[in-house]
Amino acid sequence: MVEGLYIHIPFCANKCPYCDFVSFVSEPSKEYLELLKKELELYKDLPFDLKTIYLGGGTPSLYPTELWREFFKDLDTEGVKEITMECNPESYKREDFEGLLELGINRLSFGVQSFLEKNLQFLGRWHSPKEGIRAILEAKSAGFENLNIDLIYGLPGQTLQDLREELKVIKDLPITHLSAYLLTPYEDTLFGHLWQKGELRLPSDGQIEEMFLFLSEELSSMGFEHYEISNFAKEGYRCAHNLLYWSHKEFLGLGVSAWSFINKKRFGNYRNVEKYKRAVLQGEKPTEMEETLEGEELLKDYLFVALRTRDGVPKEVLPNIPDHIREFFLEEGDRVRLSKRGWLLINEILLELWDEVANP
Amino acid sequence: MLERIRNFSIIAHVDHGKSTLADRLLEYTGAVSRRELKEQMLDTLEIERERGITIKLQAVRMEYKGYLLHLIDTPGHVDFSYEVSRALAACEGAILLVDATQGIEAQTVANFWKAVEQDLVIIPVINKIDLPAAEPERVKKQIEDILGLDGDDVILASAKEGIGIEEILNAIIERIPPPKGDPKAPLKALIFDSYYDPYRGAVAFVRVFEGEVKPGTRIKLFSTGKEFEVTEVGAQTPKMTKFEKLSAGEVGYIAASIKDVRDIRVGDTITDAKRPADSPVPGFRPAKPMVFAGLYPSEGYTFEELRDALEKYAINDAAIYYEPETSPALGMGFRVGFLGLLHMEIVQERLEREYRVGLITTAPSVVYRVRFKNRTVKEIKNPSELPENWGIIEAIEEPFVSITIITPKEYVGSIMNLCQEKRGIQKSFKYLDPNTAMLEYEMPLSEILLDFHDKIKSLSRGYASYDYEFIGYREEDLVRLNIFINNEPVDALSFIVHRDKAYRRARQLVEKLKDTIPRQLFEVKVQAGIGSKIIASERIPPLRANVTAKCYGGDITRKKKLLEKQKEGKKRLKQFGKVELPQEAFLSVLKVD
Repeated sequence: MVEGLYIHIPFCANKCPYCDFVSFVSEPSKEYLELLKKELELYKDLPFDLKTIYLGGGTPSLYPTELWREFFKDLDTEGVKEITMECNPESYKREDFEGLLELGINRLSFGVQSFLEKNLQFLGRWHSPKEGIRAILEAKSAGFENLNIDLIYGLPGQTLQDLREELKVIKDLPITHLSAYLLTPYEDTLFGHLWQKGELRLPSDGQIEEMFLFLSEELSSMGFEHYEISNFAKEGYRCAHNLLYWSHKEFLGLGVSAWSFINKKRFGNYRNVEKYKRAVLQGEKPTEMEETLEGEELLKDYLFVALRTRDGVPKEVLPNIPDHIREFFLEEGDRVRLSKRGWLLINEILLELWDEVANP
Repeated sequence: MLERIRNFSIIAHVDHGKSTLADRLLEYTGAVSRRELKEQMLDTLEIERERGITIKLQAVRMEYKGYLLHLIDTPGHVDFSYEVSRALAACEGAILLVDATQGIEAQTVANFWKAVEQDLVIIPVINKIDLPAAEPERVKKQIEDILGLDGDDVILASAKEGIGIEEILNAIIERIPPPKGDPKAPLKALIFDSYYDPYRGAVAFVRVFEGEVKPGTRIKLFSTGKEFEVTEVGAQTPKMTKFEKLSAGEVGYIAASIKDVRDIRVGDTITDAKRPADSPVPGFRPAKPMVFAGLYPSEGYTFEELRDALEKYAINDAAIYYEPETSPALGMGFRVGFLGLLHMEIVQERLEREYRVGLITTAPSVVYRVRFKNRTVKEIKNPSELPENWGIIEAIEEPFVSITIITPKEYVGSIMNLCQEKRGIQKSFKYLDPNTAMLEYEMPLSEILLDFHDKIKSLSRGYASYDYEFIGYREEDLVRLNIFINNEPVDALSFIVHRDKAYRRARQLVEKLKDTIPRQLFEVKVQAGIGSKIIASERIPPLRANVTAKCYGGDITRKKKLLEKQKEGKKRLKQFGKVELPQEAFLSVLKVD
């Protein structure tokens, strides 16, 4: 059953130096929304039991709300419990938020990234700390109950004191969810290039550990559960859509570069808009890449996603944890999961586990 | 007939223009036209051309004014000094070529003395006089003062510009005596080079001293007693040209369907099996590899591929020695013996380039001689062969060389410091002229293997030159330095070092290992000790974070691939106990400076 629908909006007002998602600095195209609907048509034979919809990007909030209204007009959202839209803080006003709420969108995710001016500048964001706060408060007063903010940490020179300042602001905000991402210099991003040239000095792994554990503790004392490596939620507000990804549930991705996981297959759409458009207009599925997960590959993939969560995996999935990484695991009832130190070292641990899976 | 033959070599320091002069001689005597002269005719191998040095000897026959001139080429590097001496033994004279801009250098002196030992007539030639920096008068004075030659005999030349070539050719005819020898006497031919030819088999280049040899002659090798029937004789003109026979005084090649170049070793004497000579040409000694290193297939190549490549390569190089060896870190490979560092580099390059096999080469080491208390002696080619129990050892000996260094005077101080640091014992120190000093030291070969070349070149901005020769084994206060990773000894990392240097080397080594061993999920302790006594120690703190921060639906396949890439890197690590060591850790061990 396909339980989630992801919709990728690849347009942005500008390209952030850390972002490795497919996005183009361009006006949002009305035609693109039509293509998305055409693409969905191509999959009408799939067994749907939609529970979540996620509008991500890029910047979905670049579209005026009227266009979203048109888009949602003939989209069957009955039975869908969570519809999230990613928003830039500077995009929408209070009336817009009200409009979105009417469409059935019930969760907003703000790309705030930081509440400190110096960090926003470093990250190349165009909004101010104030605008971030304003967006959240306006959305709340418009009637949104479920609000997320994205935060980036692990910036060059960042201190625990900086993080403390962020948390002071967060503490008073009416948010239910927080994603805190470690800055990662991905290849083909501006930061990636700078990092490779040695011009971006990131914190040491010891400092990262310190910040990670600090955030985890501070946020939990504020009532947030640390339920995935980078995600924190108030009780009852875990992101249902993202949990699909981490529990091997089926989802369909629409739009440029969007990925799906259906029938033990991961498949991704064209990253090139023109190729995507051509395929969809010709009535062909715009699939560019495909990965079929069989046997141990399926298990490796499952470990890759599921160990990211606080729920971990059933014990029978990991009957033989090698001794030298045992210390990073915790057992709870019939489940086994990574400790916080384990999360910090998840890449190393996964490599060990993959070896174990390949050569039991 | 003998009256009209001249056999000669050109001896020179590297880059002083030997190959260019040889080319000019070939061109001038009409053996080769300018068009045929592909760069440098005598250097047949690609690598030789690239490095500007000659490795394989060859002998070329030219005709000039009714004379037969045999030019016997000599390799120009210290590793091949024995081959040089054999080539010179085949001659009556030698052109001593000195670069007008560089003056006399270490190999000039070394080769000069080798030629004098063979009683050769020396024709001194100053080359490159066309260059703006040329100082022919200073060089001429050096030749007089240092080598004791008559300055009036010096010929000024520029091989590149064709200046002085005719004068050199005339000097060869007028000053070098014709060879002696009796064509009727029993055959006596000195092998001064060999190579493997897919059609002729192993081919020997020889100087016939007595008697004659022709197709059908049954020949015998003096050192082994092995017999073969000659299928072809001839000379390079410079093409391989068949003759009816080779007679006393002549230089040429002999082919006899010989399968292995090891059957015709340089320095050995060929005689007639039916009518053998009483004694060989004196001076034969089998090539002895002085420098050993492990050669292993690199990622993507197999042991079998390496073995095939080595076998094929060795067909053409009788000086190379190899035996299989297994390293806990690098798997199956070979311990390979070379004449010296340059020989090692050449073999490596040829294996990779011509035989297309990727190599990992461990740091070169010397052969130690271990004397046990029970009066047995063992030669150790690989430090990991050392016995665990140090108590049974009476002494360890290591090879020493005599090294001659020639340098501009301003670098004398720092070079003396270097030599002292390298455990050198000064034997002499003199000024060749007001600006140039010559130093002689006795020094362990192992110290030369360890970046001596790079150091002396950088200390002297490339101006100092050196040449060395093996003089024998000496007992030294050597100890075995053991490396422990988390208290476990790693045999593959142990090595032999002089006691005075043990502390410094131990410290450098653990620091290097600390830098090359990637941080693990737990703390790693790296220690070095003499026996079990720890003298240096470092901690590698455990890794604290390696996390994929963001992972959603569209990321999974991509982020898994990034992780797979990390895994590729880990493949090269070898597990020691719980610790994973990268190959660099092993390779860094002997490269500590």
